[in-house]
Amino acid sequence: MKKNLLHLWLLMLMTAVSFSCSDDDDKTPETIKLEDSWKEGWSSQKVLDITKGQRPDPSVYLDQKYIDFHLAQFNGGATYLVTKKALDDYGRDTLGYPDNTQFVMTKAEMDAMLVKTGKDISKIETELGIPAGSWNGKEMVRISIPDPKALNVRVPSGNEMGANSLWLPGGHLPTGYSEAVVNKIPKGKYTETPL
Amino acid sequence: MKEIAKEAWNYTFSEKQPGDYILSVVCGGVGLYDFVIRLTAAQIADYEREGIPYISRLAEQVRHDQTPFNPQKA
Repeated sequence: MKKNLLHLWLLMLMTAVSFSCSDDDDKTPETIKLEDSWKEGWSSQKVLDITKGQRPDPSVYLDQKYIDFHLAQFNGGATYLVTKKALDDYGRDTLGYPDNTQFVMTKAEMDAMLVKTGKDISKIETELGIPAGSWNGKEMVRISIPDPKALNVRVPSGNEMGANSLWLPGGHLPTGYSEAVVNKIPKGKYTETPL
Repeated sequence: MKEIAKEAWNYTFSEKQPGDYILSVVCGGVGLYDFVIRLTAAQIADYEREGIPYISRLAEQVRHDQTPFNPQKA
């Protein structure tokens, strides 16, 4: 009898421990914040203080968990905006800057942003931090990349041709949208739709 | 407009009229836009001295920060 009670007690204890462990280990957090993901001794300012061209890979200063979480947001597709004139002028065979980089945002965030702005060009400029009036009266095109993984989607280092004086480490625009970088995009790896 | 030099998805350098040079630079990240400047006398002198490598460097400066180039916007 005593032995049976002891077995029962042990079984209950193991079940409780098992539940407790699964709560801690198996749950993926909804978000991993950048501010919690800096490696010791690093900060946004420290990265910005390094001259463009010499900045380290983000894996040097950001936790891998954050990088994986950030890039997973691009699994649903990546996208960016460009003028039709630029596509006409520079061609559609290969898109992206000559240094084999092109900044992209997530399909989901672009979709939401276009709904929020009602596709009003001046509002889109504000949302993306584009100088006011740059796209005024221009035909705009959305480039969609269904499989950014195939183009080595990665967290920007700040060395990219498109990284300007407003660039921030960690994969977000100053206005908060998530960004990443892909390799140059060959024909067949993207679709082009008028905005 | 006479096109002098062009690198895809970087810049286009043209001469509108003799001595009137225009540089159109691809700028931006998740949104690409062109920033177009008219070269100043000093920049033309640098171009005449150094050639296209100077234009390539100038395009990089424009792309990095357009604020100093606003007065030259064409």
